[in-house]
Amino acid sequence: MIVAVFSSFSDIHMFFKELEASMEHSIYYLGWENYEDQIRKMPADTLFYVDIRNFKKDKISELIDCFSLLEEKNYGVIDPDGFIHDIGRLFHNGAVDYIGKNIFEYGFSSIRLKIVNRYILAREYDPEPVMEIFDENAELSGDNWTSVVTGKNYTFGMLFAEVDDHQQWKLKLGSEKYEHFMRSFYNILNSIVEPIMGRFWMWSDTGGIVLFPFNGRNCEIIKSTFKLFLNRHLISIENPDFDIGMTYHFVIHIGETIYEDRGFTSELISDSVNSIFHIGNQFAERDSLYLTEEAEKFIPLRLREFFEDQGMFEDRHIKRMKTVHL
Amino acid sequence: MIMKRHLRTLSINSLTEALDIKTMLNVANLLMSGYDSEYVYNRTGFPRNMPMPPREVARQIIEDINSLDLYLDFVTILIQMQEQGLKGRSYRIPYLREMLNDILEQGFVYEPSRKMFIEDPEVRRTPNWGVLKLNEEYTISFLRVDIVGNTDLVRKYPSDVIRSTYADFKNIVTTISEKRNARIWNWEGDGGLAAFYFGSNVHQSAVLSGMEILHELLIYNRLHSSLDEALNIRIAVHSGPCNFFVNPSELDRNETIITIKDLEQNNTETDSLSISRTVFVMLDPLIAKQFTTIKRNEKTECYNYRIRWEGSDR
Repeated sequence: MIVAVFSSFSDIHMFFKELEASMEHSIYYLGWENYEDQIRKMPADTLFYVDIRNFKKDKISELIDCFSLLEEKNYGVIDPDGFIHDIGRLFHNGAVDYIGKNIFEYGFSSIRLKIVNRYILAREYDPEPVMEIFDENAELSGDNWTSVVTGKNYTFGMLFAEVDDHQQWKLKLGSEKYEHFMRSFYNILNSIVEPIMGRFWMWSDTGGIVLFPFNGRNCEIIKSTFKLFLNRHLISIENPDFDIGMTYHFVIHIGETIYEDRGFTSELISDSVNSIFHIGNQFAERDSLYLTEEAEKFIPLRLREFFEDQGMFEDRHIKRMKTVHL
Repeated sequence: MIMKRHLRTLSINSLTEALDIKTMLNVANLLMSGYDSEYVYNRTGFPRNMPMPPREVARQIIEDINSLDLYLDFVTILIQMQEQGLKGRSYRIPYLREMLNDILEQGFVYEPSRKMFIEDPEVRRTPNWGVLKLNEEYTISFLRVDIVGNTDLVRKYPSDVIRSTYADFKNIVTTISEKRNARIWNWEGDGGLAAFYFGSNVHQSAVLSGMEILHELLIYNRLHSSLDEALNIRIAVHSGPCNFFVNPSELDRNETIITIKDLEQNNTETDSLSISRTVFVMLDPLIAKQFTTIKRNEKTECYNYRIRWEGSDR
């Protein structure tokens, strides 16, 4: 296993001496200069340890930045001075190990590393931790639609889905064939959103938005669309109305909006809805699946390597699913 | 298929109202070689000096069709007569809709690409689709899957973990193959053989199933597997003649099965799908271009697919 330690204290070598002597594991000591780059450069399955003594109270903002970068990684915290009061919260936010004063004096054993590794594996199959990212004014829409009423503000899962080059296809196919094609697109989409309670909410002749109830813990549509994009050529070939080489682009976002029934949304004002439309229309490239930073937190841990950063758009980090070379 | 009494009456009425005696005998002859008026006189015992009433001929034909279990083939001919005619003449077959409804109720559907009835997969799934005959030869597309490193996995993990993992894998293969109306002909714990016979392009159906199995396994390995490592597999697809056997050991002697086994074991890298040239030439260009060519031996080539992510060499 690869272990990377952020510490500028000399006693840290004493603590990790068993690991340093080990042939089975590799240990790296990293400096704080460009720690963002250093985190990114290490292999995906690296176990990071952060020596909290590096920060003290005056560098708390740097500490928060460091932890938010490590959110997607496996990390433990070394805290010989008992700087952290709420240790449980560390684990709620994704930490996999905590080294307090007593353990620090005793030293780090390879058995402990095995236990941490087992914990990491077990945790990967658990639901993702609840992220505190949502607007306090918007209730979570929940596990299903039963408690959602019109006129109230909720946080939903949102999927923007649109066919690529729709203007050209309209001209090329003629309105009747184009309509027929759009029905197929709707059916393909429906086959993945219906089992997870998606509701076609805004829909035009080029695509639209599907809403999902969101309970704050998981966002199933990410897995479903991941699978759809893996199989997209197979689906096109096997759908007789769709095998003309048409492609589509999707954007997934988690955001709040006032809920109105389909067909009564024309006067609705929502930053989230605007944003997802902007990303879909102005940022997204053809034949691709995008996620906003709010949705990205719910990518299952072991699928994260298949998504890559696309930079910022309208103050949001955007990720895109890598394409399968075809 | 069991022909109930009312269905027999319906068929007799249909023949009598739609066809003259000569055409009825022509239809019967298509199903039962040598079927002529002489044979009908012998079967019925009707006096030869009297003209046989059309209804009597129809009754005898239907009785023989029923006793030889040829009813589905008989209705297939009626469908073709109504759609394309017979010997240049077109026919309208009365009660055909009612006959089809009855067949549907008994769990069979019409397969237009093969122009025959097969069992309705929603009702039941038998290895011969309800219609392939024992020891008869058919051209079939096969998909063979195998778990790589089975022996090591069995040694390394407790038996309940292996059992549930392999059951999950079988479920993935079965669901994906049966979605395309294939049947699992053989399964031996760590792998098996699926047969594709019905559909507009069975070669492509087998290949698409193989690709989808690789995709599904990627998700399974990442999100659902109980193993500490990825479950690795090899898949091969090949088409060729094969008799329908119930006993899997008889399958092993078939040349098509020997070829697909060799393709899977000797020409397929871990976590990839290899297909023979016979199959490759039948693919839609969009799917064909996902495959890379591999030299199988001095004379032949095969074609390989694996998931290749953007930004990675493999």
